Amino acid sequence: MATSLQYITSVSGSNISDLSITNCFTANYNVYQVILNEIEFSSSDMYFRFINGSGVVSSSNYDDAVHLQRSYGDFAENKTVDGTSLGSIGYDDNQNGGGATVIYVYKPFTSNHTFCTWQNAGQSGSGTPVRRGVGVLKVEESHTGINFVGGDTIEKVSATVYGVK
Amino acid sequence: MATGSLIKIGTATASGSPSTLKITGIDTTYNVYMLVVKNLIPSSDDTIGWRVTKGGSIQSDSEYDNVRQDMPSAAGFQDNEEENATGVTNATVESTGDGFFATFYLFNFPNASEYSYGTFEHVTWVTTPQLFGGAGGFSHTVASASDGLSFYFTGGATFSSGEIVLYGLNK
Repeated sequence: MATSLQYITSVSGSNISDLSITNCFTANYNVYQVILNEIEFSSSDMYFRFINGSGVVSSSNYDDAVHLQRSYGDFAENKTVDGTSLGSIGYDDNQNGGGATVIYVYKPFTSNHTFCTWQNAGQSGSGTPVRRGVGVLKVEESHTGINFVGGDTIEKVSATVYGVK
Repeated sequence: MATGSLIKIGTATASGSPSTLKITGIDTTYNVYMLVVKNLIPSSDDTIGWRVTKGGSIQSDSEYDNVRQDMPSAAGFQDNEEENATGVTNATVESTGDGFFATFYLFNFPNASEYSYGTFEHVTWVTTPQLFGGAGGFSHTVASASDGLSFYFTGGATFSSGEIVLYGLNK
């Protein structure tokens, strides 16, 4: 099957508590690729949530499973049921390059649960952490956007949304 | 009107039994690049590896970190990691098989003030013999621009065949 990646929008910010990309999910695509090519913190993790017609969905309806791979130590299975966000999708502690993440979001605009997968690579003071994650928002409603929130102030973030056809 | 954003930049094909298979062309045109790797077959059973290039030159310094989970089809899964290596190494590829396949996302390569790093998913038929695949990431911890990726076999085998294709993700 031929596929095409189609640019939808880009958003960036610095020294913010969170970053929203609104109205990027529509009926035009079933699958979206969201790329964060810059994640910078003084020392924190990045998480994300979805946006519906009323705003950011912050209810305890997120489940995820993240495989944390470390170049500097043991791997870890980080799992959450009924969380308020998905992730971590990246960590940084002021290293050169921060982190970067590719997220696939499946059928967010339809009135079903919204599923997603992600992969991340970055750099911490200890070495290279890599994350592979899967997640779901267990609310059967249409989601029109995505919101990135840090465990601390986000020094820099840059995100691009593509539709996959 | 939306247009295609996966922009093909170039292809490198193994020809004449080269000891490395290199593709360049990464610059500031795009923030993120994708690399598709197909049928990298060694002249004799050997371990595949890769390094970044800067100004077209292959970097073999001890600045590579990598981490991955490998999933053999006939053995337990493996958590593999390495720091301060001279390259990123992966599976021991069978010379009589179909070779090594992978998809990479490359981040920060054109950024002169930050490290270069990427994620990858890979699959091949290894010498054990068995199916062997997995996923991971790597970084080259030198804060300068990288313009490509170069593959090699750690034991000195040459490339009997193989192709790598570089794409940019356009906005």
